[in-house]
Amino acid sequence: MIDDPRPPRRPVGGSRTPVARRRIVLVVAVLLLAGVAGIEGWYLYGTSDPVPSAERPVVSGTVAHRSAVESAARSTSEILSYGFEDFEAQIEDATTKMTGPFAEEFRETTADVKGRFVEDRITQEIRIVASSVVTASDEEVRALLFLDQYVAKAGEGTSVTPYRALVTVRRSDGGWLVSDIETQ
Amino acid sequence: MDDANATAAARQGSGVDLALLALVVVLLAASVLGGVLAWQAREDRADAAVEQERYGEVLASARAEAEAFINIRYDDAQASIDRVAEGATGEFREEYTSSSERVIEVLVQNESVMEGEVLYAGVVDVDQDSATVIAATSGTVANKQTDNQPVGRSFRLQLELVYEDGRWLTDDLQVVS
Repeated sequence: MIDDPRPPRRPVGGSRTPVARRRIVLVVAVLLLAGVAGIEGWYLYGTSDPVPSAERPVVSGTVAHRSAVESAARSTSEILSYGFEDFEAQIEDATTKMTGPFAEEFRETTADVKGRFVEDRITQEIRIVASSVVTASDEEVRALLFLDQYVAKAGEGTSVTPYRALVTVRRSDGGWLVSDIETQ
Repeated sequence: MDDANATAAARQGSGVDLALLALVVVLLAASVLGGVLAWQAREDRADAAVEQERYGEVLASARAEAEAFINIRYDDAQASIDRVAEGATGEFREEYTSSSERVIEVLVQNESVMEGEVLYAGVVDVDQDSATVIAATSGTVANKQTDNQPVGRSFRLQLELVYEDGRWLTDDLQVVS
């Protein structure tokens, strides 16, 4: 029989003390539970909100998008209803319901028609006939409005023209602001 | 001296274990709470997805019906009317199909061709089995009165839809003047 010169092999884990084993179990438990909590946190707060698509055009809550559509209808009516009297003050008041870039665009457009309004003593009023939601997210809502435009000229009667408008409103600290009005 | 060191090391080791145990308890509580919240979020998201997809289905059906309604041609009249009937139900379907012979006669007599598309459509209201949609269309109409030349014709439509046998069907369609 030949003597083995190597030191006797320690059985795996066999020589760990109960204290060491307990610590390993605790560390493994901490790591596993931290992983589970991390995955839960990602599921709850890390996933991005869905964006509107053809299959899901409305991805915000009912109360939120209804409020946005109502705001779009009210603002559109107020923005597009103006007349020759105190023309510029009305336009400035209307721009408070718009985003900055759209307010600039609106000022330019109305400046072009101011002369005609004053000269012909024109007043126009917009009445909303129907309103609906086309797409909606938490940040932006597009509303389809049916509106009637009543135009009164001095010395002439009032004419009524039916329009359709696609109105975009964006959420801001002060509520929903109009960022685009596309009429057809 | 060795005994004192061993005792100090044991106390230190015991303190680390206690800290780890406390961390395990905190993480376990957080995981259980997180699990409950994640389960609730999953249920809420599933409900929201059903509702959000309903908007898409309602709009797709309303757009198809509106397009069928504004694309009618005298040389393919029966097929044009069948396309409208395909997406219709109730009184609207009955009225539309029962008057089809008269409608075809008028279409052929006038050589009417109406073509168009839905520009926008939006949901006014929707629940599990009914919906109201408005649609803005753009297109042309050509007939003997226009010397068979296409003339612009836009519509404002309001459609009432109902959910029947797994489909959204139109049971009323009105032109909003």
